[in-house]
Amino acid sequence: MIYLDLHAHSTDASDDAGATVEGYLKWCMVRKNKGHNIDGFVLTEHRSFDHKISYDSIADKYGLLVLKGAELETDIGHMLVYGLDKKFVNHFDLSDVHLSHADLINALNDIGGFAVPAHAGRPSIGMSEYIDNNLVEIEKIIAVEALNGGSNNEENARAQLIADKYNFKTVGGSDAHFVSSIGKCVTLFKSVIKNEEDLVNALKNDDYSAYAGQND
Amino acid sequence: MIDYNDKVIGKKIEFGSFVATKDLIEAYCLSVNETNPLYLDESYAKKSAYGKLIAPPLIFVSVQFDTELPDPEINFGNARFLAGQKIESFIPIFVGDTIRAIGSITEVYEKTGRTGTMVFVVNETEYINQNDLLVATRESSMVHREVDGE
Amino acid sequence: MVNKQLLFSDIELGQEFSDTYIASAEKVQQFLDANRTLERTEIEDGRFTSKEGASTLGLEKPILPGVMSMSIISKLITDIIAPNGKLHKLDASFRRPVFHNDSLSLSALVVDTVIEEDKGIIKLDVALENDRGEKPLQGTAVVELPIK
Repeated sequence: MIYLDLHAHSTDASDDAGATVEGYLKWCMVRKNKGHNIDGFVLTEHRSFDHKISYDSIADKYGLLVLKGAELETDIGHMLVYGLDKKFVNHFDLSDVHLSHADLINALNDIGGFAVPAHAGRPSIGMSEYIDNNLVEIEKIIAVEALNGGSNNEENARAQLIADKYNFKTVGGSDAHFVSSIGKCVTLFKSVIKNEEDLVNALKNDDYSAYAGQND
Repeated sequence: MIDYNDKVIGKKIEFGSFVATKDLIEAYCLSVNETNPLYLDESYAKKSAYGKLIAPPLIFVSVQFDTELPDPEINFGNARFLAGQKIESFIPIFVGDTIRAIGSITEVYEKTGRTGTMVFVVNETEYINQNDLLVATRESSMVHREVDGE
Repeated sequence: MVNKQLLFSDIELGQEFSDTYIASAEKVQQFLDANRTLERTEIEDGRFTSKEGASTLGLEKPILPGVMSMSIISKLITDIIAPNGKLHKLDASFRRPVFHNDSLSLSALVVDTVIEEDKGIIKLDVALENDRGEKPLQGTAVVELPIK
């Protein structure tokens, strides 16, 4: 089993973040020492993806996993995307805040990637209100972020309701922008994950779920 | 895409100056319940490492100048709010120091949040004392968005 | 108030400092009065002083200037490091308004301690929390404490 925080932002690329990657790693160790479950996290920077950066060496120093994805802005709210490559980044203008979710998911399927609607229960930037207005191509969605560290209880409950109604799998992510938030919400996977390819395979095929109970 | 006047990006503006008077320091301290004697007690400050009264490190955020940054003419939203600030402090401001401010708009970008679409205008300001020493820098983000006002 | 000087070695990862602040209308006016040119903003919309001004922006009550919220959190930090510590950086995001008469809890959590160029550097996550459980301000600070 592996516990991963699938949603985190750092000062490397997110305009509103105040945490460095090493700061997160140090705080993950603090959490582990307190008995919390956290084996690593995925950096999902806002509207950007740098395929050249690798965090492997710094992650190895702490015995943790640091993977890369992105948080993109679409016509049905924000989406966490994993398994990106250079071709994908060249094809889409990631700074566009009105990307088509259908085009995005199709392109991800072509490159072996995966998309998860983020903080699905939040107004405006969560998928719930777009589902209510029949604007979502439901068959393209496999999982939603039902546990988000930046959402309130009501918003997370709304996201879980959608997951239950449409039989979506659920993931958890802290949506950390500051060091002490990392790992507050995680996803529990049953398979071994060592890189982005493993992560996407697990998201497509594994039995996983959002995992709560990480608060101090 | 955001409709705005990109010619304003990087254009440096001298806002003016202010003097860190004892009155200004005391009024600022009163408003935030600051009681540190380094800022308020002359005899204590005289014996401190600074040798005289200093101002709280963020004193300059309370000062607004009559000169404003050029208008980027953002064609979006009916209200603007302060979204964030980054302050870096280099040397203390002493009582009586004259601090001048120079700034520019550095970036305009768009994103979406709980309240819908937002446009951010980022500006940077340098605060320089009477000895031409950089005292502090400040980066501010103003968010433009639509509100349902009465 | 004169603190006993905290040293770098006194600080532990995960250590938390806190304080409280009532954002009264009187305190807001004192802040605005500290530099009277702020009245220019008042002429614009009155968001900081009147219910009418606030309502034009869809706000139920007048709010604190964001820079005042930042000054309030900076006071917690300067209390921690006084008298001889230094505040190097403060980075704050304003995520929700602070309304007049909000009762605020101020916090600063130690998230890293490191010696850089013989200086004792402490990194803090800082926040203001209102009594509705919301965090209108979240951010980070970098301070320096004496090593000896």
